[in-house]
Amino acid sequence: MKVREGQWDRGYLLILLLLACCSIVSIYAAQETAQYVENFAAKQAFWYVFGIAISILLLLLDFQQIRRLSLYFYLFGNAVLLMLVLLPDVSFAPIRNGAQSWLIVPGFGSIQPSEFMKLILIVFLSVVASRHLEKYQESSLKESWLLVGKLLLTSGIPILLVLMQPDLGTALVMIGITFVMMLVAGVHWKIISGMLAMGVLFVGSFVFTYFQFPAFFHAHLLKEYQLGRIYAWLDPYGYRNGEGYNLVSSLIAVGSGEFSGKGLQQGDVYIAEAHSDFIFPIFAEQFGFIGSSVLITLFFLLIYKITSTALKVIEPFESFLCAGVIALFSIHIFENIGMTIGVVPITGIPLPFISYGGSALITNLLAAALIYNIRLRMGDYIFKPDH
Amino acid sequence: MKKKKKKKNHVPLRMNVLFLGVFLLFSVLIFRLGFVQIVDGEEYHRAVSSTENVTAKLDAPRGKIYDDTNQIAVDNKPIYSITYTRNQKTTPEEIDALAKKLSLYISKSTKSLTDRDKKDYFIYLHKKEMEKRVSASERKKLSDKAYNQRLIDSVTKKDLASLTKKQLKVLAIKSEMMRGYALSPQRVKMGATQEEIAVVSEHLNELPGVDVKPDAQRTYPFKGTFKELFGQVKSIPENALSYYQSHGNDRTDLIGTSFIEAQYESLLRGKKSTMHYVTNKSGKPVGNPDETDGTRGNDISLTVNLKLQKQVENIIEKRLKQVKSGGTAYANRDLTEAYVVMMNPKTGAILSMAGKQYNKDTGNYKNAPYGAVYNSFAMGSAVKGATVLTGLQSGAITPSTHFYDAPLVFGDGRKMKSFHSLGNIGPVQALEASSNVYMWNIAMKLAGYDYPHKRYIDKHVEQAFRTLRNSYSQFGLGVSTGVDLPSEATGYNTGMSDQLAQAMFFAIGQFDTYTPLQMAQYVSTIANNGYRMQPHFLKEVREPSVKDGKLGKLLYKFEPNVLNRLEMPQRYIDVVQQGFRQVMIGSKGTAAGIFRNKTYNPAGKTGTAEVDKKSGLDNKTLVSYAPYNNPEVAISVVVPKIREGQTNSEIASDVLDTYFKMKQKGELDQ
Repeated sequence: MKVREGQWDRGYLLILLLLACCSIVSIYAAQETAQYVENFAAKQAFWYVFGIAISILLLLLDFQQIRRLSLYFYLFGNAVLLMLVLLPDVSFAPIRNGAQSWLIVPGFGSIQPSEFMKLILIVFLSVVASRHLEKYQESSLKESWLLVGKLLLTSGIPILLVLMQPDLGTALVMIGITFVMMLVAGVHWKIISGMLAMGVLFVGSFVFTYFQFPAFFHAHLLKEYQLGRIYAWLDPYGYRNGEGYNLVSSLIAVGSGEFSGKGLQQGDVYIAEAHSDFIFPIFAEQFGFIGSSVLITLFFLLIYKITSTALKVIEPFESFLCAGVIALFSIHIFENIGMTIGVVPITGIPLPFISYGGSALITNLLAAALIYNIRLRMGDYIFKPDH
Repeated sequence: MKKKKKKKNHVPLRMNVLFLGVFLLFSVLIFRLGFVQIVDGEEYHRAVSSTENVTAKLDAPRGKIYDDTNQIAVDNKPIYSITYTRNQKTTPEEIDALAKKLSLYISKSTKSLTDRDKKDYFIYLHKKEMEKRVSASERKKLSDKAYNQRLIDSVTKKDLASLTKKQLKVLAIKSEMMRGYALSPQRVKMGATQEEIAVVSEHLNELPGVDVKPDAQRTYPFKGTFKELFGQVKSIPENALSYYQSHGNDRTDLIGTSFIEAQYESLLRGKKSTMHYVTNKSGKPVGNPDETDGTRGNDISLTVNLKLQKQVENIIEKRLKQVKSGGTAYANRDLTEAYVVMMNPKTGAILSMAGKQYNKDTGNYKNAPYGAVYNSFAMGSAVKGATVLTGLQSGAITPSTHFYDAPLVFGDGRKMKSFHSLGNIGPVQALEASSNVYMWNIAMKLAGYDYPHKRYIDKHVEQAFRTLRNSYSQFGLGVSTGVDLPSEATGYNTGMSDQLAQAMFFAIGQFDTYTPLQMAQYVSTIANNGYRMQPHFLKEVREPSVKDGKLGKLLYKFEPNVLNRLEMPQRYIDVVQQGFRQVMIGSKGTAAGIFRNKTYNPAGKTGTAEVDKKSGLDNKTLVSYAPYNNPEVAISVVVPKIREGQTNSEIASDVLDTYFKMKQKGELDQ
């Protein structure tokens, strides 16, 4: 491993360190609301240490090895997801909150395979896309269609398996990642815009049917109870005793933080799931608009760093990895923070690096390490063409 | 190099597009955050600090009730109650299951269950079987309500008998749990035993809504004596709920529901200690609660002397037993009750109000003092004092008017006479020997009837009724006495008649009916030289005593209240007072046989009202006061439906003897 001056990016590591601090502080504040008996902050610290240890291992691998291994990881990951789908409700694969997403490993705790699958998918999609581009030099419409087909097939399998758990949130994240892959892999603009148009049309027709043919809509598309989250999102106060409760308390927490926040440990709004999916309101309540802006800026800087890495590397594979990780982080950040302030409906998606949760944190750390690996190895490639 | 360039060409552009997209999304977040935290921030902040006020209340005990001599008559005992609070969504099935569980831990009397309760429960338990009892075709014709009634009707005695003791206990517990409203604790059992408290507390986690709470229960150191008139302390009746809530009560409060407890509810009610919490939106208390200490309700003392009361109760029972046994047992088979009211004629203070009612089935005599306020009787000649005064006041007679007491014979051949024919008598002798004829002459005069000529000079029989009733009401007869109880009977107004004979019966107390209390007020008014006093039980109101056995600070003392004065000169009243004295000592005095030698110098009037002339059934009454020249005690005795015996006079004699004996011993606070 060659390490050169300049590649040892202290800024990147500092961002991650600051996020870790935010995480521990917020989780500690959340668990002080007396709804928990466990010490989640300490556990999260442990997961950080554990995740960093694994990440260092990842740094030892070069990208040839990573490309080679990716297929096996992809197959293994899908096999585990398939197992979860096929297994009945057993003690080591229990149904929690209506979904069978967890695997209990004795002596270790519970693991959420779909979290890891997101990263595996990013790597494998990057492999598929870069192979394709190596094979077909021209990016004509026909080849673009072929690439789209390959990528859809690759991501389609885990997406279906995740949907069967059922875990719509994770599936949407995977769809987002796939779309970003297509974008960066150079799929023809016509197809990209066509896809966007189709997406808009799809949602539009849904809304249209709902208002114009409500009977048909309820009978064949979505049941009333499935719409609860949408209703609660559009009118949280109207549904504050039901589906809107989480959003209302979240809005009150965030909003009452006002410009400069109430101060460390000074939050006083009760929020359910405050340590995991609803960690952001806890943070925003304590540190106000200034604090939350700083947090979002930290995330933004992280993504900026990854983008600049992608722009510096020569190998498309590495660019695609960067794009995939950007998609992974951005979608999570936007959806998670967005749902707590009513920008998007509520889904069970954690905030990267901040929310409590071992599987997600390790996945995010590995993703960050992957990018760091690219930065560390940039020197190799810079000199490569000269050899 | 060329190939690579081509590949590289699109990546930076696309990466930049992606980065732009991320930038836009993050901008949306920041923008929205700015909106939520800065623009609306203040409003959300207010929502958090917008507090809700929660007041927790702890019951304070009611005030104690003392008797005339400051003996504790009604006390509080700290107890524990098992309560149940249901919420709006609790189903009857859940309550049933809970009642079953609870029935394993506590005992519960099933006495108060009605047949209707049991029928409903039987139907609840045997839903399917019951549905079969009504055919489908019949079911169709019935409304839900009628169907329900049909089901209830179809429950047989045998069905009810099939309910096990256990089931009945569950039902008894369940009906307590169902009572009241969602979210307000309901007492399932008052006065739980130590074992029950322990076992219920241990199982609270499997008994949602069930709780063990400190409570207080009334105790009566004098046991049954006067107990009924203290009244009951119970849950607020449904129909009175809004009244009590507007007076600061909570739904679960126990309140005085009858007699003195109800009359003086506002005095006796404790002031609850309150803990006023301020909570934020999430229900978290902010700061320390604002506490106000509760205080026990004020203590009150009554004019009643419970030792005397106890003796009066015993006297009534003893005398009733006496004439209902031996040779007169059969004659007095219809005799079931007797009442005594004893009051201070000058102040209206009620010293004793007692009644006994005989239960034919059990052979027991139970205390029924309320009968003295609620039951009214034809009082007979005891009211003649009022008739004489009516005659004097209206000018029908003068103190010197004499009538010849001999049987009256009317044009239609009807004969009316006194018990004995008395010859030529004035008003004093008429009262002494209880002349009917004298009273009838007054009535005839009032009605404009000229007896010697057996014709009307100016017929106005109804006017005679009005004159008599108006005059009687000055004594409290036929009107409210003003006693300090939530309600009282005012007797039965038999109405108007143009029959002279009816007006004549009115004049001898055989037309309208009056309560024993009204009679006591009537005789007191005569004893008190025409001043009608408000009868009252309340003597004093005191702050709750801090130390046991020590009275609290005096807050209020009941001052005697004159309701009205008879509108006539004292000399008229003197006539009746003389007559009443003669009843007790005169040679023809109707009560002289018993009272002639009493050292306390009583005055009074006996009465016998014929209830059923054929079988000789009478109401025997007596009103009296003593000493005649400076009255300090007045009594009214009513013994309804008696055939043989002077029980009215015997009771009166015993009661007055007891009073003066106790007075001599210094056992009365007068």
